[in-house]
Amino acid sequence: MNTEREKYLLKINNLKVHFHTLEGTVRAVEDASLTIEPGMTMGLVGESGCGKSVTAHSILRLLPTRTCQIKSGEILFRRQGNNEVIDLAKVEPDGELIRSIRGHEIAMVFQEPMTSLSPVFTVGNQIIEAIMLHRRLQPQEAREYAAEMLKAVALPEDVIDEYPYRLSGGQRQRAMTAMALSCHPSLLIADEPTTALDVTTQAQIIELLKSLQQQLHMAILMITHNLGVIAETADRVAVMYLGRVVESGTVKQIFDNPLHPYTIGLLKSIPRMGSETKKRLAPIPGSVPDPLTVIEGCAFRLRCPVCKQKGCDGKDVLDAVETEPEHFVHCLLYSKRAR
Amino acid sequence: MIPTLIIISFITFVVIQLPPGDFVTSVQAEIAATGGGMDAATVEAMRIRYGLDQPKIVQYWRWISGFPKGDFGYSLEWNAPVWKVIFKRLGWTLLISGLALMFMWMVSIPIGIYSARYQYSVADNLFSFLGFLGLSIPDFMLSLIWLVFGTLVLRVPAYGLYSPQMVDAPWSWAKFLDLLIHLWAPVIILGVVGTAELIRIMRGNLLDVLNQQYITTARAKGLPEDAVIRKYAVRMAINPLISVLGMQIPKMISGSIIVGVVLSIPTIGPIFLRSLITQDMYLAGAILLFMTTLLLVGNLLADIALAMVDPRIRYE
Repeated sequence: MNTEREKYLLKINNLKVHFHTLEGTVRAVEDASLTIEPGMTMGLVGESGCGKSVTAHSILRLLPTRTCQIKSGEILFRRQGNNEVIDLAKVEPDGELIRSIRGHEIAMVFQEPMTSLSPVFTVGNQIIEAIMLHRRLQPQEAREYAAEMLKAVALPEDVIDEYPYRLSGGQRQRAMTAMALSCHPSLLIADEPTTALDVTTQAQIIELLKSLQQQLHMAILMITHNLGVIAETADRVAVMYLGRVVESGTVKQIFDNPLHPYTIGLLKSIPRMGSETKKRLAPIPGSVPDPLTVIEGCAFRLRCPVCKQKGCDGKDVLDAVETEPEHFVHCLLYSKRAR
Repeated sequence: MIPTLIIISFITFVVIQLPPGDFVTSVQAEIAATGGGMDAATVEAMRIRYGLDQPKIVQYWRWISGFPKGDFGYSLEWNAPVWKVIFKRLGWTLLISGLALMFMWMVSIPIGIYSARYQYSVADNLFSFLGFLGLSIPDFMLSLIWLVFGTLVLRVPAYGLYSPQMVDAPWSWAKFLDLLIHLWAPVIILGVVGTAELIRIMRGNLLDVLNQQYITTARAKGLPEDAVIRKYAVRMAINPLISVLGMQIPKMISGSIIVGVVLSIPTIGPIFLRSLITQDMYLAGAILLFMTTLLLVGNLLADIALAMVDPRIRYE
């Protein structure tokens, strides 16, 4: 198991990202650690505003440089070919290096397919551009290749000369996927790829991503607040709350044996097939605190049903406890049991 | 467009007729002001000769029925066909307005892009300050300031189109240079307000566009920032500017009248003012009509240009 863990593709260690706004510092990501192995799917779940997207954007250094700063932590990425490991947290945000990785080794698919393609250029133009950036191809070859990619995502070939506004949401998300995968990235970051789509289209896109993942042997970082999507796609799951990864483990561990009170609450709050229909859903009490507040210790203690007042505001809750192999939780309940 | 023009020609005619009296009364008044006098018979003879005794509707019909033949009426004051009087001046008006438009676009777009990319930088704040200054100084004021400053401080010719010794000279390189020296100031004065406006619009648009998802998509592809701005951001931010172009044209035309009067440039401005004072109705009416035509044509061109650059707008 240990040797396997060393063969990571991407490893985020204690990432901390702050936004400087007029109202004060927003601690978007306080402490996030993730490990993604080649070819596997990592699910990242959490409520809106918990820092999922910021974590994803930090990997490609797409955050606005003027207001946003990676305070500490590292984002280790193993490059294709020579297996060299670089720390993406330390590269120039608009430098040559990160640009050669963007769209080439790490690609991204976004939440809003309606706006993620420029309305004034054809789909083909935008895909060919991505291909030509990273591969030495003649324009004609690139065009043929783009057509091939469109076929791979089950779009009709003549979409290549269409403007995005003529496509449906699902078709655009397919086109985006074709563009993202056109350079065979080893990691695809899917930032809520299905949120804006209707349920049937969601299922199609998920299926498409899964089959392309197998063909291309790439890892996926699946960011969503939809636990159903996670259950269907992910191998491992990390649960985020207020900028912290509070629990991580395999899909089975998280769904069958959730440990952190937040994860337990999250799973309780979704409807289940076959359960008593009269039963009300159990929402998590309270709401997400204002992003400007600084919470010492466990971020969830303000809403936590089992919070022990003593100790939960201390520093030691931040340390991960490995309760079973590969299953990590940041909660005092388990650290005491472990001690 | 043709029905619009017919309606406009009618409204124009009505508006021109609104002031009390007519050309003959204004001639009378002028002669009286210099101590002379006209007897009633002469006045009546003049009215009949100019057709001013006819009902208004007949006068209107006489005026517009000549349009298809290129006859825009007869200037009572200049004793010449209207077209002959304004032809050359219309050219100057178009030239100066056109140059001012080009100046506006060439200056405001780069500044707008810079201001948006480096929002709140020292240069951005400076451009904003200058922009608001430009917005708040009316063009006649700028013309007057230039007249005083250019003549007294710089000692350069600050009015007219040519130096006095060049006016009647045949075309030559020297005359052309002389023209350029005279031309740049009115062009800039005419363009200042529009430039300031366009900078604000361009900056705002670009800031808007830079927050769009497709900009992040373009960056996530690995495109260099300059290419992202050039291809994806500026391309989208310019569209509203083209729509604004249609609105800018009437401002250019009315601006050229004012600047023309103040800096005594033979645009249509001075002659238009004069025709209104003397109630030279066919001349004033024709000038108004030409300007509205320019406006309509300008708007049409702006619409066509917009349809060409934005694939989402296609007229079937």
